[in-house]
Amino acid sequence: MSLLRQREIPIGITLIAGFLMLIDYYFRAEIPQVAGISTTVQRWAVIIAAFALLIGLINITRIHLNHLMKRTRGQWIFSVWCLFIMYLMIVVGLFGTVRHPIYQWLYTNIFLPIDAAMYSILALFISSAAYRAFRARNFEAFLMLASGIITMMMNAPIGEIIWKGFPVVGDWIMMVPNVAAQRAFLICAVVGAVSLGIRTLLGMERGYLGREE
Amino acid sequence: MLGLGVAITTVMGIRNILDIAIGGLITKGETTWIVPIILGVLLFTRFFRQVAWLSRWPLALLVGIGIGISLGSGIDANFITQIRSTITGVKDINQALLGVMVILTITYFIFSIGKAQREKGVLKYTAQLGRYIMMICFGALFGNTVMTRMALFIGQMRFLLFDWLKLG
Repeated sequence: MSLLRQREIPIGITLIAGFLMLIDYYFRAEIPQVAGISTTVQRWAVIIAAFALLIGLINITRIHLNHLMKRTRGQWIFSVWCLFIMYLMIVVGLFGTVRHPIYQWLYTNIFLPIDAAMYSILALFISSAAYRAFRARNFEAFLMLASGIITMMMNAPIGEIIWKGFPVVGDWIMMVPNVAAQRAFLICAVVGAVSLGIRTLLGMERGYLGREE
Repeated sequence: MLGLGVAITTVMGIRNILDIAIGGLITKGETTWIVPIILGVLLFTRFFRQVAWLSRWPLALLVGIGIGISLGSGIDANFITQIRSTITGVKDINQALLGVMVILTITYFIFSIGKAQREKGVLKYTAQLGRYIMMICFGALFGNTVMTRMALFIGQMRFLLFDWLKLG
């Protein structure tokens, strides 16, 4: 295997880029020269990430073309529609800019309503899942159930009519136990992220480089 | 929805490449833009088995930048700021309770002392209380999510029935 194909080169790139960002963040005042380099590299990352989006486009096109070629039952017609609408939007967006009336029409009258409809339909799925899963089998499940009901009643107009305490208790739950747990999650997640980040920078974590050849 | 979502992000990405990188290279003569353009093109080598290893280089740069940024600002915003706001400015019983609850919940996530030690002593009880706090939090998050989705659902139904079908 040639030297260029070794995994040490990408690991080295990761290490240098990572430390460059860290030095920029923690020693910007002491080493002002690094700020310019760091900003340039970050701007490069925006462009490389844009190329990565094109890889996603190629992948989705390949998947749907495959369905189309094989005439996958119950799927291929949706693949045709997906490819048509996707490439129509791309062509209009690129050649007619994003302020083109067709682009704006597709965005406002198709994308936004479907997006809102998708999220609103989730309300039914969540309610159905809650009906099946929310059983006070033990004390912990009871706490979750009670907290969920109180929060829902706090937000629903009928809650205050049923019991005036719902908004008060619901507000306390949101401001104290909810904030405390989320704060603990953030603190613990950072500890995990830091250890994973350091392992990756030092080349001990190589999953992002794919399989060994 | 999938097609449109992909198209919108792709258009933004291509516009970035054309306007910032290629535009900067050609119109302003900023030669440094050659580097991200070449690295971006190298990403496509993953489709060709013989040269697929080349796609690791731009990926490594992206991962490095991402880790560097998250280790810097992430520690500051999600670790130091959170701890500072928990232990400073305790003015009433609720804020004191909040601090205690944060500590109790954190004790649940201490995995570095071994299972045997976790299951005896004071940590057993603090971790159990931490679980109770987490359950209350999950319930609250669930309740809020349901109500947000319900509000969206009602809004969509109003649009369909009253604005679109003009039934009202």
